[in-house]
Amino acid sequence: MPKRHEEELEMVLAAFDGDVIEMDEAAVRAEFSAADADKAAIDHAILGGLERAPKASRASELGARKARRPQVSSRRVSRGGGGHQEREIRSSFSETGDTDNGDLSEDDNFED
Amino acid sequence: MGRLARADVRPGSATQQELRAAIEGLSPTDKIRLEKLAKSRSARLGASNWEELLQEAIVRALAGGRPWPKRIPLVAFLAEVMRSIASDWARQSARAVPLPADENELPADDPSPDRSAVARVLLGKLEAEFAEDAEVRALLNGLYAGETAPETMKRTGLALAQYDAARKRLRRGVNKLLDLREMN
Repeated sequence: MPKRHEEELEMVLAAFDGDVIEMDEAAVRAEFSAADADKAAIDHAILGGLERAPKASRASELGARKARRPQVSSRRVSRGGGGHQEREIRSSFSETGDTDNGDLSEDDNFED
Repeated sequence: MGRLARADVRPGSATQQELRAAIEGLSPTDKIRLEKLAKSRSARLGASNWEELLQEAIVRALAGGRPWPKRIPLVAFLAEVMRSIASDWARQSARAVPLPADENELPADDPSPDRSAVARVLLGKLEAEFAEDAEVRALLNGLYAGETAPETMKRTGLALAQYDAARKRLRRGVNKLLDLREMN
């Protein structure tokens, strides 16, 4: 029974995510105008990510390590609600060998 | 550029410089999309720090492990990176759950209790919000069952305009729920 709640929530949020990605700009602005505090938080998160990201040469080396890894992929695509682009990007991730369970954790630990 | 440096640039994929420039140039609308997607993904975990998830997604995307196919919108790509990271975090969290005291007792094949409780509470609030809205409840039931939009419309007799309007109300309800979660 507990698992059912998680699965149902996943279905609802997958539909929400698909809509958020596919809605046109006017609809996003009309439905989701961000509060000032959220705008500041978004900018802070993006800037923080840009600052923490490894330099280009380091990124290239890590990318090459990933490219050499065995291709293992099995992905459950949500049946309902999820958007077309979400399915396409998931398919694209499968092509790269990325898996559903975030299996890049070791390679993605970039903190020296 | 040596062999290693070339290996992460696949045909049709962005270079790190292109990805960085695209992230720096995100429109205000796309930033709002990312905020909503990060909050949605955090809610599944029962976590509240959506900023950390978004930041980590940008770090990992720029690290080059996940090439950005330029035919895919950047927001959709970053959403998928967030999904992958959240999945990773959930796995780590599940491993931290202590094993049963009785060694003959198999660990439950259920998700961690906290996440289940969070899901139950969120769904309860959502259903309470729409208790009087038959169209949204029909739509929710369709989502729970994994129906496509045409299947739900066929089952319920909703016209496309009715379905779209109900979906919009549901979307606003979910958004409100995610924002309230952040404030609590």
